[in-house]
Amino acid sequence: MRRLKDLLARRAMFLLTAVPGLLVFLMLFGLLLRSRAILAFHSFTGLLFGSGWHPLKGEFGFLPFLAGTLWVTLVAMIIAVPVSLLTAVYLSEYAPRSVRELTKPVVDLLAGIPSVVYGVWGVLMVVPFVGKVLAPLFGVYSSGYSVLSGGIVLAIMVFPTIIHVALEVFSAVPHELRETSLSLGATTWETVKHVVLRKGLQGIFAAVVLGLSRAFGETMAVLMVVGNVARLPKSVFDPAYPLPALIANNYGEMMSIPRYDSALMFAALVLLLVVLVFNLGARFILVKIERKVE
Amino acid sequence: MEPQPHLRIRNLSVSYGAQEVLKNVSLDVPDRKITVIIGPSGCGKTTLLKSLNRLLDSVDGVRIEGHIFIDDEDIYDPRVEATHIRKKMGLLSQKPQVLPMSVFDNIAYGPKIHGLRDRKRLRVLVERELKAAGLWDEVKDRLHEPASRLSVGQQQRLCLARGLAVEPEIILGDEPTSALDPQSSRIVEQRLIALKSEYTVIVVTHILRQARRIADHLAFLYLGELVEHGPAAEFFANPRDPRTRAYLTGEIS
Ligand SMILES: Nc1ncnc2c1ncn2[C@@H]1O[C@H](COP(=O)(O)OP(=O)(O)O)[C@@H](O)[C@H]1O
Ligand SMILES: [Mg+2]
Repeated sequence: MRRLKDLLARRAMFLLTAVPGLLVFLMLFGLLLRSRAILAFHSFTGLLFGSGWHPLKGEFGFLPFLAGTLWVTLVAMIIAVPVSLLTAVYLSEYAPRSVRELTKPVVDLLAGIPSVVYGVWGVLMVVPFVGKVLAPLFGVYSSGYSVLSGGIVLAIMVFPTIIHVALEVFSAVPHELRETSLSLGATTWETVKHVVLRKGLQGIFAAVVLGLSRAFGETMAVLMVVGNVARLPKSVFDPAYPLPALIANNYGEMMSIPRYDSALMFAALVLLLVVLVFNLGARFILVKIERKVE
Repeated sequence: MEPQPHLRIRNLSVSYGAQEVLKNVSLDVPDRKITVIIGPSGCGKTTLLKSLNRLLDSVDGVRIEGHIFIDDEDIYDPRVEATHIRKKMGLLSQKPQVLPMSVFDNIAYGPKIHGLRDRKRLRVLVERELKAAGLWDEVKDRLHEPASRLSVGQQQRLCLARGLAVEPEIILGDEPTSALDPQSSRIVEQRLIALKSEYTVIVVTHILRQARRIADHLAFLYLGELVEHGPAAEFFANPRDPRTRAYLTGEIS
């Protein structure tokens, strides 16, 4: 009887574990199925790298959207990675414990703020700042609704993720290791640079990838500040149109246009694949680190 | 009259928050001898070693009173830089702490930080230190492998060599053999004995037999108090304090 229970429990838990994995496959499969309509007319690469977006003429080039996603994500990471890593280093290596204990929940709270709120804040503060201050500073015109605004808002949304994971990584570095470096006469900064960051390198990498995959998929806040113009952005002051924004803006709206629906499915498929690959990579590395730290 | 020893501890008190861990400890550490600090666990031995190295600086809520002199420099003088003090002491910790880099870089780390950049001189130095540690033959083909792949015993000898590479004056060992097998422990003990001809050595242990094997001078720490200290022979043969006697007979541990 007990063995039967054990068996049942094991089966049930296995099933529960399998469901999320299965779901992802179902999603992939569904999206692929619904993208068939457009894939029948255009090649995969043609869709990905075509730069003309004229749905009425039956032209579906996703390059502006892919580029928009990549640009905004890249700008966000360029801002977020150094700032959040330095913050994490400060909190874990320099700040007194009281400051650290106070900041941690605040950082986690930031992660919980709905992205619309970030978006509104971006429209109120970041867009005017970019349009009226930064752009004139560089001698260009910009409405403010731009790659840069998207990147800044996104960076701020990614901070908590990277800071949180990086703090975990740093706290896994044994205290004695720091003392070893210090006792050889190294300064705190030298110790951070050569020992703590090095020991936590993989973990930091995973933190960045986790932040990145969040950035890739983030929709709402970015959508509100990037301008949503389906053209290849030429500078960070140009508007862009990232993939998630395309889907969110148009799904259910333009369905009368032939194959539009299928094109959006294809966009979702591409986005899902990108996020999936990044997440799998991050998981893989995290597991490796756990094994190393034990 | 004997000349004043290099390292003198005067009225040192350390507390973590409200807990007083070292109580008014004063000790002259004889030069070029092995001073062994014994005492049950939790009595403040590690704290005492760390205070010598100013590793307590970064601990939250720590309060340090009193003075530690190296020659005539008070290491807790606010004008003294901690890195300058730490460089004078090589620390060997309880578990071998290899830095996350190659065997070669572990040794070269300290000298590089202190400004030695010349690759050839670094190579010479690394080879010399590894040879002195008796490690050269074992690791000469693995210099560029991660140091974490060495055996624990080899790691501890590497750590000792790494500490010596920055040319300290004093060697501090915090139960340096507690993670090692008996044979590696012997090797490390013998290394320490060999080193006392050139360095002042302080070793913390709670293994009495080890203290008997290596100590020239003993200090017994109990509940943060320095109960008794003196030359090894006298200490073991003629303990004065009843608590020391109780500890030596194993009544308190
Ligand atoms: N960083 C710290 N913060 C608070 N208490 C500490 C800290 N380090 C050590 N202690 C306390 O100080 C006492 C002495 O510790 P320690 O010096 O490590 O003793 P020993 O090395 O003799 O075992 C112990 O009671 C320990 O709990
Ligand atoms: Mg200890």
